[in-house]
Order: sequence, then structure tokens, then C-alpha cells
Amino acid sequence: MSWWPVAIIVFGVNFAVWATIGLVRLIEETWRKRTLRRKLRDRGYGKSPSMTVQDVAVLIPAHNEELVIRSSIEAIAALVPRENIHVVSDGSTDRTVELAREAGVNVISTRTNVGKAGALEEAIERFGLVERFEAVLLLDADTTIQPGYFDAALPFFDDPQVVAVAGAVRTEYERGLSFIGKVLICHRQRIYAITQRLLKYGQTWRFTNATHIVPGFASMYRTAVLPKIEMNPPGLVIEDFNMTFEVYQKRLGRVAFTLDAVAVPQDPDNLRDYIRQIKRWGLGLWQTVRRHPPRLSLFSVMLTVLLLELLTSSMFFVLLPLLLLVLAVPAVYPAALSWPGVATMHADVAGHMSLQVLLLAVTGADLALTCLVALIERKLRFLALWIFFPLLRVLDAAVALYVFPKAWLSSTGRWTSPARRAVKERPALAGSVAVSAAVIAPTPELRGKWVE
Amino acid sequence: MTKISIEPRRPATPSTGRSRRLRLLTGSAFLLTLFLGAVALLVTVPRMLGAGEKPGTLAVASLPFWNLTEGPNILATNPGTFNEVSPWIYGLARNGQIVPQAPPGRASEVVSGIAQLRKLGMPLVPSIANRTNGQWSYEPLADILHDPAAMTRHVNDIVALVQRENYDGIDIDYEDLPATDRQVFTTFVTRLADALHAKGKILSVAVFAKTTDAGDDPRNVGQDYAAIGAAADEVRIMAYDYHWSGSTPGSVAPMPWVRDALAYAKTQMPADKIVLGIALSGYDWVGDQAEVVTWIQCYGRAQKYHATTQWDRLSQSPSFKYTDEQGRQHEVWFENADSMAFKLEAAKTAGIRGVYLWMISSEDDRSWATLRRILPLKAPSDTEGTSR
Repeated sequence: MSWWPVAIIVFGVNFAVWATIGLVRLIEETWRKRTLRRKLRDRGYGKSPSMTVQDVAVLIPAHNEELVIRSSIEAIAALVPRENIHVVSDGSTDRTVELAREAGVNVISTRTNVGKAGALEEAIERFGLVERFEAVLLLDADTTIQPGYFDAALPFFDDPQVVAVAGAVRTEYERGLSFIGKVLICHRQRIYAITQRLLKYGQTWRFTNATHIVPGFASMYRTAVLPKIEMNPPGLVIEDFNMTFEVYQKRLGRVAFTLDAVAVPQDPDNLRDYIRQIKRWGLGLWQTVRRHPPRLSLFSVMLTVLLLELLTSSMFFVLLPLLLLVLAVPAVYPAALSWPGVATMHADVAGHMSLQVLLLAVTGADLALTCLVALIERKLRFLALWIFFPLLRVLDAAVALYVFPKAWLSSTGRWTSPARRAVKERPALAGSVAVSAAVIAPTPELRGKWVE
Repeated sequence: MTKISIEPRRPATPSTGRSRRLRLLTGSAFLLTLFLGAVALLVTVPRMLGAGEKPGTLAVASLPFWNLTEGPNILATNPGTFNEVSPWIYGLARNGQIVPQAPPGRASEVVSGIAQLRKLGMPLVPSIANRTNGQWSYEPLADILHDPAAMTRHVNDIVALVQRENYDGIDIDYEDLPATDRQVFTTFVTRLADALHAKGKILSVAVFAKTTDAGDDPRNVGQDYAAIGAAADEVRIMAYDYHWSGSTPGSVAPMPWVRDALAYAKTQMPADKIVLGIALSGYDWVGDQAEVVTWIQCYGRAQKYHATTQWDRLSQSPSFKYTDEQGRQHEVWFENADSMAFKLEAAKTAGIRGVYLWMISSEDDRSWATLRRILPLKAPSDTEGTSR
């Protein structure tokens, strides 16, 4: 076997396909940029006035966030009117509610600790967000919305077909990270940079409309569709996959996405929290897929191909260390071939692929992705860390497969989330008051409870 | 703030128990199907690609013209060990014509041997060597390579021979070309490959093993690996005679050198054209002069002179020393099934097309079991070579 099937599996078939469509979108949208608005109006789309931030409710679910709630509110208050900001405290036992009230925003508490999805559902109902606003931004306390988010995102709602606008997620590379932290953050940046450009951009073209995730901490939904979405089904460790799947499975409308509507969450900077987070995401995905069997739609086709590749490449990456070992040990130490079973295994693997070809194909294809990201982000540090990304992909793959059977085991999966991290100074947002936004991962109790 | 009329607030209908269970069941089936589909993809795609793209492992038996009585029997009694046979039977006359190497007295032996090989049903790819009257010779070949008309005639002769005898192809074993023949030899190989391919026949070319383009001898410059690899179907690397009849005593094919030669070849041509040559015999030195000895002869001499065979871990090959009746010190380096195993593993690890065994004649009787164990061939029905 030659190098290219391995290279394809490492680079990704879905990336190749959707990146091509994304390129067509880029050309099409650039070409029609100036005439798009007029053409839409000619077709009768532009009759309702454009949405403004006045029409957007911000909904921040919070559980014991006294250290950060005020700065989170101040950060978003620089972009939307204070009266549009809503905080729902779910079972907080600290000063979260008091501090939020002092900040002059709308605050309620859930009657019992109902979990994140439950709190969102209850807040939408009790604040009357569907009746009072046209769109709602679901925002986690650890996420910062970048200036320009609304300018980029709101025009999409001019198209009545659009029911959700997915935010573009970036993670910030902070100073003072440990080496592992740097590697993890860069790996995450790499994933965001690639998936959003090579996958999501093509998936959310107006002629395609099939993306698997509208991130639940930085995206806007048209309030009119919220009543049709079952937000809080039992047994899910994560709510945003489910909300996305509901939109498609119930054919509620289109999901729009632009790289210019940027939200910055804080991603785990240590291995323990990282593994916890990807376990939760992985399990959440499998649970959601199990809850939403496929239908005859582009979404289902996209999802089938995407998951098939996710599983195939995960299995490949988990097997990779074993394959390398079987090929490398006899090459370095030929006497190993006399050990029981080794000669047969070596022969089976070597019959398909040599060590050099396998290594070159894997690192070559992965390095191609890294170069692409370094080019997109214009940061050389990705090239410096290139060797670590394939290793983390092995970890990601192992976790994705490890949690697969748990989609059946834990029907009432409670989750423990990353522990709080030290408050970091963030640069002042342009044109707003200086915000020292504390960007902190939710407390373990919060997310733990926030799952039915 | 713009207010738009909204349909009355009603909660999304939670699914009922039964439909929810049905949905979960379907979803479970979908997820499991995806998982099994991924497993199936991982298992079948490498096989399909492997089968479609790579014509399977090649194990070529090289049979010298003087062993065409016993040789075909060895192949017949070891089915599934080889899937191509190259009888080393043709030489060049002084005028450049292709002639049998065997002396006229042994012509009938060759004819019946070839007839027996045909019955085995494996591809038959005879070798032409630049041997004239039992000696390596350069002049007939020089005339062919340096006269365009003679080259055309030679190419046509070879194609006619292959077609007349219904061979599956031809193996070119033209040795000891000067460095200055590099370009003309490439031209010849390329033209011959084109002519044979046009008739659906294959071309194999034997080349000296080397670890750089220049190698360690002008004859290495004469063979342009990249160009030959681009034209021929098989490039047979003669990875033996590192120590030879005119050198100091030592391993015929030391493993580090074999590995380096393979690694270099892989930088010059597709791996699936490379066929590693493995010698089966050895040399018996007295001083700096040696005679070729088969494994049987080595075995006999070790017995006769009560010599103990030593294993050299650097070259991974066996040797022994003895003193003959005239009091001369002998040093014997040879190849057996154990040293062969290392070369077979190297071929396998390198992911090359296969190996050829040079030459089948009184070899270690464990050789063929070793070959079958390390380089198992596909089912005999697949050995027709039709995929080429």
C-alpha cells in the first residue's frame, strides 16, 4: 500500500470535501457581495428591518459564579444594552445573584437546581424572551464576545430562513502557560482554525446548510424557534449538540456562520481538565446521535460521513502506536522477530506498509494541516509544536472511542467539569470600558448539576 | 425595540415514552452501524488498495542452465514457494545474436527443463547475460549499445524470442558496463521496455547493488537506477558478492550493506519494482583467491575437516575455517537458511516487490520452508502475473 490512503485519513476526507465547497462559497459570496442585499430585497426578503442589538437578549446561565459574574456582565454590557442582559442562577449558594442584581441586569433563580439546559429553558420561559426579543445569545460566563460579533452575525437574520447564527470560536494563547498548557491550547486553536474554515464554512453556505454543531456558549438563536426545540431531554451531558440536531431534524431552518462573529472561551490548560472536557464532548455527541436517528436530509448524509470518518480515523490513530511498534522494533532489533507472534504480526503489517512510508504519511499529512494553521493564524509556534499534534490526536481518538459505549451506559450522566482557573487580565475591548474579564471555567458543581 | 408577533408560547412537545424508545432504538442501531462500518472500512480498504495497486509478493527462482534437470523438480516439490522462474540460459554471440549459454551437448537438457517449467504454470522470464562462449564479455554488448541499428536489431531479436517462445518477459543481466555507457544503457532499457510492453510482456533488469549513485566502481555509474526503475517492471538488485572470488574473505552479503542498498534503491524507484537478490552459495578462500561453493559443498567440507561454523553477528552470515591436506588455510563464507531469513525480513520491512534466489543449486534444504514462512505468497491461482 502506498502513502496516500494514510495521508487521506490523517488529513480528512470531510475536510477535503467541505473545504472545496467552502472555497466555492468564498468565491460566490465575494462575487455577489455588493449585489447580495439588493437581490435579496428584490426577492422580497428584505421587508423586515435589520435586527439590531436592541432586539437581542443575552442569556447567561450561572452557578456559583461570584468571582466572575460581574466582569462577564460588564464585558457583554459594552456591546448590548444592560436591560437586554439576563442571568439565570441555577442553585447558586454564593453571591452570584446579588452581584448580578447590583450590575443592573435581569436576574432570576431557578427554584431547584435543574442543570444548564433546564435553567436555559426555565429562563426563556420566565423572562418571556420569546415574546420580548427576536434573538437570544446564549453565553457562558467563561466566554468573551469580541467587538464586531453582532455586526457580523445580525445581518444573517434578515433571511427569515436563518434560525441560528453560530459564533466562530477562537481560543486565546495566554502568557504564563505551562508547556503542556501551550501544547493543549495550540492543539485546540489548530482544531478550531481548521474545522471552522475547512468544515463549517462550507457546511453553512446558504445552498448547503448542514453543520453538526452550533456552539452553545457563543451562538444566537431566533427566539421564534426556541419553543419548537426540546432543549432539556433527559440523559444528555451536553446541550448544544442536541439543540443543533433539533434544528435540523425538525427542519426548523438554516444555520448561518461567519468567521467574523468571534467568541473566546477559555480552554483547559492541563491534561486532566483537557481529558475531562473531551470526554464530555465525545459522550455528548454519541448520546445526541443516539437520540436523533438519521432522516433523509443533507444533514444526515453529512453527519453519517463525518461520524464514519471520525470513528475510522479514531480507530486508526489508536492503532497507530501499535503499528509503529510492530514495524520499528524488528527494524532496530531484528532478534525481536524470534519472539512468539512477533514475526507474524510484523509480516502482516509490513506486507501493507513500511515504517518509513507510514511515518512519512502520518506526519506529512498532519504537518500539512499544521502549516495551513500556521499560515491562517500567522503564528510560527504551531510549526514549533508540530510533533505534539499527532500525539494529541492519538489521545483524542482514544477518548472518543473510550466514551462511545458510555452512550448506552450512562443515561443520567452527571459530569464533573474542569476546576476553576486563576482570573486572567484581558485586554480592554475596543471602544468599551476597560474590562478585566475574569474568564473562568465553570465550577465542577455547576456543570455537574447541569446535567439531568 | 422591534416587536414581531410570535405564535403563542408552547413548550416543545416532549416525545412520548413509546416513540422515544423507538427513536433511541433506531439511533442505537445507527450508531452501531457507523461503528461497524468504520471497522469494515479499516479492514477492507487496505486490502483492496493492497490488492489493486500492488501485484503481491514476488519470489523468483533463478535456475542456471546447468541445473535444469534438478531445478524444475525442486519447484514442483515446493509448491507455493515461488511465483516466477528465470532460467539463466541465454548469452550473446560475438555478432550480438542471442544464443544459448549451454554447450551443444547439454541443449536437450535445457529444452526438457524449460518444458517442465512451463508445466508448473508460473510466469517464465528467462535471463539473457552478456556471456560469450562461457565468459563474461563486453565487446558484443558494446557493438549493440553504440550502434543504433544494432540496438534496434537487438531489441527486435529479444521481442521476437519472447513471442516465439511465449515467455512472459525477459530478464536482462548485462554486467560490467563502463561508466560511459550509462546513457546508452538507459536508452536500450527504455526502448526494450516499450517494445515488450507493447506486446504485453514484462522487462526485468539486473543491476549491481550500490548505496550511492556513483557506488564504489565505474560499473555502478553505468546503471542509472532512476531511469531503469522508471522503464522496467522489475529491477533485480544483485545484493551479493560484497566479498567475491577476487577479494579478501568475508560475508557474501553483509546485512548492513544489504539494508543500505535497499534503502538507496527505494530513493530511486518505486518500491514495488525492487526485487532483492539473495545468494544461496558462498566462497572458499585460500588467501585472496576463492572458488564458488554451494551450500552442500560447504556442508561437506565442514564435515570432512571437522570445522565449526561461526555466526558473525555484524554481517549475519555463517563462516568456518579449515586446513586442507596440502596444509593450506581455507576460509569459507556462505549463505544458509538463517542468513537468508535476515534478507527476507529486510525485503519485507522495506515493503519492496519481492526477492529472487540466485541460483537454485544444492542450497540449504531448510531454505524453502524459510522462504514460505517469511514471504508467504498469495494462492497459486493468483500467481499468473495477470495483474501486470
